Amino acid sequence: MADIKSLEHPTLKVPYEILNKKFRITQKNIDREISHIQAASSEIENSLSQQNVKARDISSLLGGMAEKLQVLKRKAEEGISEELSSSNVCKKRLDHLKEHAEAVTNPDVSLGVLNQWKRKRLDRMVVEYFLRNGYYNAAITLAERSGIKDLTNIDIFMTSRDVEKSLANHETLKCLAWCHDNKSKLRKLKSNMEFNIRLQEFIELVRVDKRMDAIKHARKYFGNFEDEHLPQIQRVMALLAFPVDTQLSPYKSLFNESRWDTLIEEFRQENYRLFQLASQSVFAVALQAGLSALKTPYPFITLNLKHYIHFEPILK
Amino acid sequence: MLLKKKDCDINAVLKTADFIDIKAVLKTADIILQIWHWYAFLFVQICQSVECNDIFCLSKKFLVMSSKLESFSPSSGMDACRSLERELDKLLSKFGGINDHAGRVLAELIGHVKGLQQELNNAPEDHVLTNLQVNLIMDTMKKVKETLSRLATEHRELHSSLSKFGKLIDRMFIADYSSTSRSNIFNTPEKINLINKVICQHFHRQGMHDVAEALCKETDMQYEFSEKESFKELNHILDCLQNKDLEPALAWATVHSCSLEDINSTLEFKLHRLKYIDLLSKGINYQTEAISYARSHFRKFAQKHVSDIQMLMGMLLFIPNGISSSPYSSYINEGLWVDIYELFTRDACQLLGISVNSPLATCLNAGCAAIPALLNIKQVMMQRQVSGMWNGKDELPIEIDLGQESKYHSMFACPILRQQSSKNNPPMRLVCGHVISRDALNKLCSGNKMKCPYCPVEQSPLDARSVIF
Repeated sequence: MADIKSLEHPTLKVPYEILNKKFRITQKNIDREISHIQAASSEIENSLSQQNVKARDISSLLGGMAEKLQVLKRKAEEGISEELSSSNVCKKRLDHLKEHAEAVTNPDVSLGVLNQWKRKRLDRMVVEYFLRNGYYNAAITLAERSGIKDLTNIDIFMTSRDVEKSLANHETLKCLAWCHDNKSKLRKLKSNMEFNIRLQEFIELVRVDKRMDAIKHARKYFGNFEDEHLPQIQRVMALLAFPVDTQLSPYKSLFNESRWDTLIEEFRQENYRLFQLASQSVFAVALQAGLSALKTPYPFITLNLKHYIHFEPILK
Repeated sequence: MLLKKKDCDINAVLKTADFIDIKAVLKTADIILQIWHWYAFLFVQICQSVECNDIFCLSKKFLVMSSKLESFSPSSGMDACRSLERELDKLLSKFGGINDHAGRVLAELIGHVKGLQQELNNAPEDHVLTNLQVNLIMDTMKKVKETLSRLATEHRELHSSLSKFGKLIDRMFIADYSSTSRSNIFNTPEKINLINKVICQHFHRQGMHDVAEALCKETDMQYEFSEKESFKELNHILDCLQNKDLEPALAWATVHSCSLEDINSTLEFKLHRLKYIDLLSKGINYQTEAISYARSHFRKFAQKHVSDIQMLMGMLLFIPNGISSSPYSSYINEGLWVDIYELFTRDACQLLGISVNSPLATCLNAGCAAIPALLNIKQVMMQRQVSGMWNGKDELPIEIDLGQESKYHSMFACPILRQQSSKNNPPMRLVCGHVISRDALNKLCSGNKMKCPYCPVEQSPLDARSVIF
């Protein structure tokens, strides 16, 4: 089993997921525009089926249709070129991996090439570690310094940075937009993100004592989640009966501000799942395996020369 | 065929490993003998060690072996890349195709519809459409509808290629690479801080101070790099080498010429050689310069590198036609620059007494080499339904061969207790010269006397001394 096969799954899978997403968006856009045009053409056909049709009327209808066709053309071209650029990202990464396979299998390639590839891999892993820990500036600096921007997933972490920031400021808008963006995928993953955000919004309304608004909010949003989360909804609804500074056990924790941090953490994990990133970074896994595999146990203890004996094999 | 057979047999042996069926073992060894002598050798060794009746040890060895056998399976990294590339190229050409196609078809439709509109606009103010015109427009509408729905279908059909590519990624690469590691062991603030420091050190060593500083800033960490000076010059030279500037490296090598010779380094000669080749590849106008360069610099190396120098001189013959079309063409490739970079790093680090790789790089590279082996063994254990064997969580199930470069010191395994020595249980040298672990020593004591288990020399356990490798 080669190195790259066991460690580089996310390197290819993430751009693939992005490509897949772009494909679905393009398909949706094309379908929508086409249905508009179909409707327009049906309208024209209807008008034509009447008697004594005036050229002027049809002409203006045809004009509207031509415009719609233009829109379709523009959107299709935009969408497909996005798809192409995402596929090219996949291609670039595949080429990078191929360099490694080439260096390993081909005896003519010198060791130096392999070492350079390994340095690049190290930088990639560190970039991912930085991103996962939220050290965005360091990640960008490093990626630009070593010219590996295309090989790392900075973009998806940048979108998540915005959402995390807004959540840290106790704002939900960006996170909800993100939920909406990835609605079908999240549903497939059985994500509770949106529900938890709505729950938090409800709690915040109660906290500022807008209890009527809270009830309205609950009526509007909780209905969708009734099937799966009824017990939780019931518990949260009970908050209406308590003061904000209640000391009673489950309700006190619901008012806790640290729930926002939990939300941020949950969001991060959901974002990883969305792009099929494992919950642990390659960096952490490799570091752990490396520490175990290197013979680190019982190495350099502080040397007290008085007791120090060189080990000499006993020859008898 | 044979491969399959071997696999079944090992399976059978493993199932019977609990009560050690020597016959089965030997039979398998026999079959394997026909395949790989080397493995047979291993097998025989194991059979001999059966007398120690350590079932655990035996089955462990089996596992390692069968995992090694499995790694002979043909799907290597290169194959994976190739088949993925094939799919991706298909996908790219399809996207390209639909891009052209959609653009053309839509432009055509737009032209058609606009033409009709133009025609109607040219008609008098309250012109009523004739039957012919109605039919024409009806036809156009039909055509628009048909073309568009075909276009939508064509785009949708790309999905099958797309998902095929995705599935191929899943099949060729391992998604769950973290199955062999414990989660959350780097989660505490102290550990994160430690890791960040190691990363900082790494980038300072690489001369990427801006990265290290950015990290320090974002983590509110204070880190003072103590070896800045020794790396400053080194990194400057390496940067220049990367930009194909040999001068600083040459200057450095000339200054350290004697010490380089002491460690038997070919760095200085190789730098001069590269400089010479560089001059030659500039063409005929630099010919005289190259010759005078060779005269003034190669003399020193005449003894050690005589055949190399002969070759270099031979190149002069081919300058008019270009060396790239001569028998010497293989000497002027880009690889030379990569090699010189590596060589310089290695030798300069050796001279300065610093390790070539930072601790971070060493560790991560070791990890990357270890993970495939670990995943392999895990998979084998799952298949053989003996995954419980990996229960001693502080111990890896197999020894991982990281190559000679990553061997730093010897390990001692106690011959009495068959345990690897540790900080709490160090190896102890007895008076007679035999070495056993401290735990064994304590167990062998009676009062303050003990007998060496190898040569029955009687001695006091207090005379034993800790051994450090």
